[in-house]
Amino acid sequence: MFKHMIITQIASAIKKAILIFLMIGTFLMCESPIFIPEGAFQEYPVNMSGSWKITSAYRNGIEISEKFDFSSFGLNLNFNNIEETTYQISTNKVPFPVISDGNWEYDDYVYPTGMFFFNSFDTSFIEFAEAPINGFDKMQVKFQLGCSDNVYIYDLELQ
Amino acid sequence: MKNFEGHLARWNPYRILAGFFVCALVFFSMCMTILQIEQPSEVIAEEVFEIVMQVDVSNDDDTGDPFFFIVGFLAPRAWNAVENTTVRFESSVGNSTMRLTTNDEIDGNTKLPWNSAFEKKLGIGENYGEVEWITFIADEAFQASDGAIGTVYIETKAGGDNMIVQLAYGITNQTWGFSDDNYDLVFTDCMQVFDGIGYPTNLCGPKPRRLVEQTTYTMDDLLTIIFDAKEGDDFMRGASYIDLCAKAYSGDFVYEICDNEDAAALNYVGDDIWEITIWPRSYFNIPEGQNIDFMEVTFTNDKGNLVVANDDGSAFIIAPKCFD
Repeated sequence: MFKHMIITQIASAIKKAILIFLMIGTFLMCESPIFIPEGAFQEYPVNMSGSWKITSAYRNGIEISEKFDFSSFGLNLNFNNIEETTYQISTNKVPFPVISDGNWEYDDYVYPTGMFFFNSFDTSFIEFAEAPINGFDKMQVKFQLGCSDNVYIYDLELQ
Repeated sequence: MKNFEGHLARWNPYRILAGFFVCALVFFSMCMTILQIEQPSEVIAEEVFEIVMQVDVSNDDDTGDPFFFIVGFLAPRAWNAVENTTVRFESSVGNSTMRLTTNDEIDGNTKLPWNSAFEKKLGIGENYGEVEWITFIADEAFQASDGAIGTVYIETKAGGDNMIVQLAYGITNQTWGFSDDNYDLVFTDCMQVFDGIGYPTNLCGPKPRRLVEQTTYTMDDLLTIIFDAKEGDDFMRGASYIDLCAKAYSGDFVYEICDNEDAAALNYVGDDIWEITIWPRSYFNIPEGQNIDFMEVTFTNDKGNLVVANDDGSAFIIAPKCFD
């Protein structure tokens, strides 16, 4: 009988302890806020501003870097803070869907698959052959110029 | 190959009589004959036009089984005739619409899908290439125990490019296919598509010299122009220098680079083959917003006194070739 009372008292003490811990835990949970840095959920576009040059060129999967002088091509992409703005291009006889200066923007602000180039003559879309990533100094673009059978890919490098 | 004179093929009694005797000798088959074809000899680019074909079917096997009628139409690839053609027929035993054959439907004789069977069995006539057979099968089968006569109506649409091409028409049936006289074929005279885009491509003429590395292109592509010194007049074999003399036609404007500039020098790639890669727009300094219709090119030596051109002295033509 005495033994049974002791067990009941121990069980009761354990229950009380658990209850106290739960209360303390709940209290702590309410009181300790999760820290979310300001702007953590704000999405930014990939910054590709700068001056780009062609390092290699492919036509229908075959490298044509040696067949044509691509070295004089220059494309300057401008950002205004976090927004795409204008571009300057000097194709210097190198084929490209646009040949005069204008404005540019991504097709998707945060997850771009390509770039639109606007000038007074035309609007052209140039696809990214590989998704661009912030901090990378290389990009690969894919486009067509005439017949849709012919696909051109340029490797570009930030100067 | 049977060639109908003129764009309107008249009833030919000898042809019908010959067909009758041949058919009488062939047992267990079905004799099919094209009697007459009405097809324009020229059409405007993008024009929708109709071809009317009279056919005769004599059933000599006496089985009287229903059969599916098959029509083949040879058209330029540039017309995308698969998308732009409809076929139907009216006959003494019934009328039916027709649909494109599938790859699963084959000719029992050649064991090939119908469009490939037509090309293998019947060829592509005077065309040097760039044409395709498209084939149609009747939606309904008919019996012709006592033979039948019928009219086939083919409606198609010419492409946007100027060209000269030889069209052709074939008939057969799913039961017997290309065996004995179960089929017939007519190549009509070469027809012209005019008022369209670019310099006319003459598919009926000799196969042109290969001038561009890519199979298909427009004047907006980066073109690799090839000169094979072994081809045609081969007096430039072993040359140490080859230059491109080129003209670009853009509406009323003509741009020319033909004065032995360094930019026009071809690169030697071996085996008497030379090449130069140009982007016509920048090569000729064509203003943005203006397009090049076609180019004329010849190949010269460094002094400019030796010129490789067509036999008649005219320049080679590089015109857009794209089947978009």
